Amino acid sequence: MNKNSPLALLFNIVFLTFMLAPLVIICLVAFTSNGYISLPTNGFSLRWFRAIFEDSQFVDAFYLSIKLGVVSATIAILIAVPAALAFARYDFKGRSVFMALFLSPMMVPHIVLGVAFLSFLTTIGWYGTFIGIVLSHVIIVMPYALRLVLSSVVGLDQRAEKAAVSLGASNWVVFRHVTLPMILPGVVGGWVLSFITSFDEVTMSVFVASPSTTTLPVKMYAHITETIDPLIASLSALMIFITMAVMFLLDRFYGLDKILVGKGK
Amino acid sequence: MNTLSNPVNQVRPYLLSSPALLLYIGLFMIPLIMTLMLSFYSYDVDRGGVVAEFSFTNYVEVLSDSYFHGIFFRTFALSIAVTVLCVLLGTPEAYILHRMSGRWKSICMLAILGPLLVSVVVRTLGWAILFGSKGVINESLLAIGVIDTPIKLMFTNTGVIIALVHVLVPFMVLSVWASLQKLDPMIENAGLSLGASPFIVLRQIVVPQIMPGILSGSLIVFALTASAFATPSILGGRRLKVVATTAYDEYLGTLNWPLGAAIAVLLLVANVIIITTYNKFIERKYSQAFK
Amino acid sequence: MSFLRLEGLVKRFDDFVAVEGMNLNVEKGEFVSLLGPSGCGKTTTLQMIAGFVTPTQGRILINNQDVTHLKPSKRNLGIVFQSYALFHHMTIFDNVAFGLKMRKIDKVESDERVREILSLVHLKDFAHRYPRELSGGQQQRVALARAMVIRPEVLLLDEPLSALDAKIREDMQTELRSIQRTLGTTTILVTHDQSEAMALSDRVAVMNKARLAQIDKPFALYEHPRDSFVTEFLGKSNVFEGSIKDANDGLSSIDVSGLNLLANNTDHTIGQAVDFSIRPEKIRFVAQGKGVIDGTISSRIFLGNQWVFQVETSIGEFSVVSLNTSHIDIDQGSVVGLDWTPSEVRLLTREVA
Repeated sequence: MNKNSPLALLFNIVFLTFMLAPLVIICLVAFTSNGYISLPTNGFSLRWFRAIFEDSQFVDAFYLSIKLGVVSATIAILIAVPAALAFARYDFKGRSVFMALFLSPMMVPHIVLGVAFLSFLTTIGWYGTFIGIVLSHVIIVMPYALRLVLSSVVGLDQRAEKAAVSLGASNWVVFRHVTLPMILPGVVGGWVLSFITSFDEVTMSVFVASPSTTTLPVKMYAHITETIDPLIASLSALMIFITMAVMFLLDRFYGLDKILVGKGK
Repeated sequence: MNTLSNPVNQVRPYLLSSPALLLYIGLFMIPLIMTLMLSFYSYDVDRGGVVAEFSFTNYVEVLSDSYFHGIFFRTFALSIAVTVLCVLLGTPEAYILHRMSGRWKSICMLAILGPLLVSVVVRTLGWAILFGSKGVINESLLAIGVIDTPIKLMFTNTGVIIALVHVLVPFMVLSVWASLQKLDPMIENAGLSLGASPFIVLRQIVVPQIMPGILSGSLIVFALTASAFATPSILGGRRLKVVATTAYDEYLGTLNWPLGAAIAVLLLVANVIIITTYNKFIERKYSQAFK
Repeated sequence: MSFLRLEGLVKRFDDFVAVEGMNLNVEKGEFVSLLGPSGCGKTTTLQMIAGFVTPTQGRILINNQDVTHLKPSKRNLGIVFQSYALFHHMTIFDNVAFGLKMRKIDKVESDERVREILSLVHLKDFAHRYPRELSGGQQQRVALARAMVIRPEVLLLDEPLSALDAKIREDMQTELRSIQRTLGTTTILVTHDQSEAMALSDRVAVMNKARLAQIDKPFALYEHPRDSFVTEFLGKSNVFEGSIKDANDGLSSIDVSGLNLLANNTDHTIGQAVDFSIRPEKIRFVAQGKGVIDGTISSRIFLGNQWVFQVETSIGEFSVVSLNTSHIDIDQGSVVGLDWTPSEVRLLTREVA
């Protein structure tokens, strides 16, 4: 059943074209055999994809971004779960202030965070260290992690926990075998959204990344401001393909909308 | 809620939130306070860079220099333009999506929300390729004879606006879509049965009820445009500076950290003021009818 | 000519048949319920009358005018939705006035009519509140007022009371019926609650598997259901499979699991397979051997105003209901006789599977 008028469907097509055009053009240009940005009119070539792997800087940045995303998403989740339990379960003094504070990095422009972290990390001598960039990313992804975990804890039926306690389970056993399995969707969703946010972050990272801790988006940004060549297009295309694969898997096993809704607002 | 009389329950929430609190104090509040302090310092090459003496120099410079006025004004105008376009495009699209069902709906959702998972740098690169004088847009417009000479999109406000709308419109669609989900599925039928035409149903019944979604979506888009960095930097180039790129240049170009910090603080303050007044306005307007 | 007529109405969605060959005649001022389990096609029928769903085949006539392809906004029907579908951004007053505004009725008359209907539903003092600030029962009455103020040709009620608590629901039933009587509006109610349908309607149309199973006055329907579906949908009954063994003078002998039972019969012939049905409240307890059949009490439940017994007999389990009028001294395990008069038995044509 479709309740949309033909005009609405036309609008939809134009809108989708607008959304997909820049991504499609990247994927096309990536296959060019020429040495400059052009559509692959003389046949598809994989030469620029091969070129990515020959460039150690990009490969290093890619691994660094993966490592960074995994570590910062994991730390954020480990901190977000107890905080979410505190917010959902207890009415304590300062609750709303804490909550506002923990969600506030979303309100602060990333450029401001970048400026702040650069001064801070330089002062304490952690500029250019992996731990420094990880901690800055934890702050950026925390609100997303917290929000998704919180939504699953708030919707939780506490009777199951009470039942477990009445059966003699200790606090830890209750958490491990009752609470955690029930909030797992929120935890997984929060982790994935945190990872993606960290992996894609560029504005703040531009400030805190040093030559030895350059993330992939920062490296790509720096490259694009210098030159736009088929190499960067093929790298971008590769990232689009990976994202598509991840999206497909997430949608299959988890439901993409659940994660993406956490991204808005 | 658990009873507060139990002493364990009074300590436990603080215990549970203490890791997060420590992290935020150490790595969020302290850096921000440091930045605030830094913005009151000055920069002097002859005295070895940053001078730790309290003064309003940077703020006076930013607030009195027409160069900075232009940058703040451009950022503000850009944010308004992008927000308005996102409302005009995102709201109808969310409504169309809402009225779709089954397979097509999921496919369209994926196409619109999927780009959110792709780095802003990649999406901006796509527009840079499209915009080039030998880009697809110009080539096809020339081919069908709409234009005689390539139109300039790269390094123009128009180009930056188009790309920012692309980057941010999914947030608008999500926000409006979320409020459409809360709409009673029979509400439109109720309007029709009372004698309203589909257009009147849309204007007098649907739009007013999703207004909170449109307004909160606008706020997100506005705030994110105001602090956008990568897109204006790549597509606007050196000439079309916005607040974020200016702060970046002060920090990493001229190394005048105090001035960069002052610009960042002003951006933050402007952001917070706009968000809070806007929220107050929404609350006052809709507190009675909507929770 | 009836006021509202459905003629051979059919609705198919792809290969799914929602409504098949639906014929219905409703008189002016009549209150008719469409009753059936979920998925029986009652809601689709209502939506076709409202114009939200276009029939695949058939016609809908209101007051001798063919409205089958008329837009919903032109049908002048009042609809109360299950969710009420109130306009949350408008006050109660504006909600009710909306239909009049669409009809470009002048402000003075419109205000007058809104006030009138709001006092009829006892919401005069709530005119300037918003829907969210009202209770479920009050919202329901706003929805009713909004539908009625336009003086609709037909009032359509889509499970209007299902979201309310049991107690409020009963009050609302009484109120709904009295408002409908006062205004004399032809009304169609869609519901899955048989007691609601019977309490409110002049006639009840029972639907099953996309078709109209039977339509009649509530009492007649309950007493003379056409098949076991209608029987069991309207209330509990003891149904046993059997076949007609002998028939004369309108009284038949039916073979149920080797036992001969008597029943009034006019429609069925010798040898025909039938369902033998007797309602629990028609069965009396008598001493062992004095009734139609003996059995052992397997359980008894006390429900306040009545007792419900399960009685194990040679042909199967019976359910028996006795009003709590005097102390009944029958315990679990006692052996009793069950008795009834043949005229209380209904013989139903067995559905051929």
